[in-house]
Amino acid sequence: LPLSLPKTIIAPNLEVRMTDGELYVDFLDGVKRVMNKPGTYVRMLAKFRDAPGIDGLEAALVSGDRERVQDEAHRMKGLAANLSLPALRDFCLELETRAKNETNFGDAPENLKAVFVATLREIDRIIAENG
Amino acid sequence: MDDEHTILIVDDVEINAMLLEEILKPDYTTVSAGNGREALEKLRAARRLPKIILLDIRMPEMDGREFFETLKADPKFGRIPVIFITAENDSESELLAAGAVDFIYKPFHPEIVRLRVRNQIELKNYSDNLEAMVEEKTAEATKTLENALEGLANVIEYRNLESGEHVRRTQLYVRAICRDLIESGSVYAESLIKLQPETIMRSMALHDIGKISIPDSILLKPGRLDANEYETMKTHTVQGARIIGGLGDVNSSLYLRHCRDICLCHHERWDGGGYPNQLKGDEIPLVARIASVADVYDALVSVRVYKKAVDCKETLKIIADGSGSQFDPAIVASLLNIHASFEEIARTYK
Repeated sequence: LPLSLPKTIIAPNLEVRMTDGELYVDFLDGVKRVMNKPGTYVRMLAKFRDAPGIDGLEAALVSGDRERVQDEAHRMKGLAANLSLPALRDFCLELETRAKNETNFGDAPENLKAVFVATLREIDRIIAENG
Repeated sequence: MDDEHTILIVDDVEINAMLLEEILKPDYTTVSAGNGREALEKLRAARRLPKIILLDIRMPEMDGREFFETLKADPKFGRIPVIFITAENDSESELLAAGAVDFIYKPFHPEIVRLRVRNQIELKNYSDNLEAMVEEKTAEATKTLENALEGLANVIEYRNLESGEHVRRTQLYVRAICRDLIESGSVYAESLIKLQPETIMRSMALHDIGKISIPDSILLKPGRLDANEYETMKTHTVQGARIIGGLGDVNSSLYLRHCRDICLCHHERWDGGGYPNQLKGDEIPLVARIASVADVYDALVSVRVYKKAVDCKETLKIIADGSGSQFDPAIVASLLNIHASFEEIARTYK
């Protein structure tokens, strides 16, 4: 990839798959989206970390309101895709699809939380590596 | 929104808007709004409208669809191109049919976003330029037509052995009455603003264009016309309307509509005793009622082949006596209010 990182940015481990095999943050893809500016991408990840997160989606899942789940999952899917957070994006896509037909989301709230926490952990690592 | 290259981004997810700003900021100034309502407020407060709007669909308060409908229904904002920010399963065909110009998909691909935005802005600029050219050419063609028609009106006047200033004087009388009726807050003020006084004034030039169809033996007769001759002379109203009708669609041109109404109805009387259709009161178009007072005033104060000039004081008395019978009382009142202007016009354009 035609990506050169400025010296002030410590290159993170570019593709870190967790022990579960998931890719939580696709750093290279994310940097490309902000015109190859790693600092900007890291700032956006920090903004995502500090935002309300998945509260709305969790509440929708607990309520069993299909339309609300679809809306919240769709919204989070778009955001995760734009920030190159593949695991969260895929999970939200699956939720959105399920919400079209189902009202019982089983253990989806716990799984969502797990994916989200793992994503945040990875974001924290990237932010820490970049001071 | 002061810059002419501004893009308005409407998205409730701040990070999505920030990403678009990052992608577009090398070429454009961006302004963000968190929902449709906020976007409308920014548009209404803007000194310059944005070149394009990037619009998310799902948003709180006012979502993308509602904002888009409001935008399209507003004559001021309806022509701003809108690119929808969308995911793969949003209803593209429905949005395209409603007037969306393109889509930007999540996740954003910077090069594609920039190209789609650039293409739509170029298209908008091209369309704006074309429209400006068409407007300019239409104005030129209209001006040429008006000049030709006013020239023709002068030809008819010369044929009528008049000085050539009758057209000018009656136009100025009409303008003076229109101004007074508006400025005095008369019952006709609002209607006259809509009818465009300057257009009424230009239309007045053609009030006697139908006289081209009247034989010289009648038109130039020095004495009184006999009954048959008078009937022929009266046809100049209908002939004038016919000539104007042949020039274009009177329903789509305010100028031609005024010309037609003035030609056809400037000899109608307020009491229904005029010609050609014996219209009464408000049935007579307002422009023709004004034209009638201006035409009669000028006929009275001018020398004609068959009569001497009547002095201004006597002319005012004759017209005042015709208030409510021959003339619309409100228009006569206006003439009496501004008679000094009429006298000045008559003196200046003898």
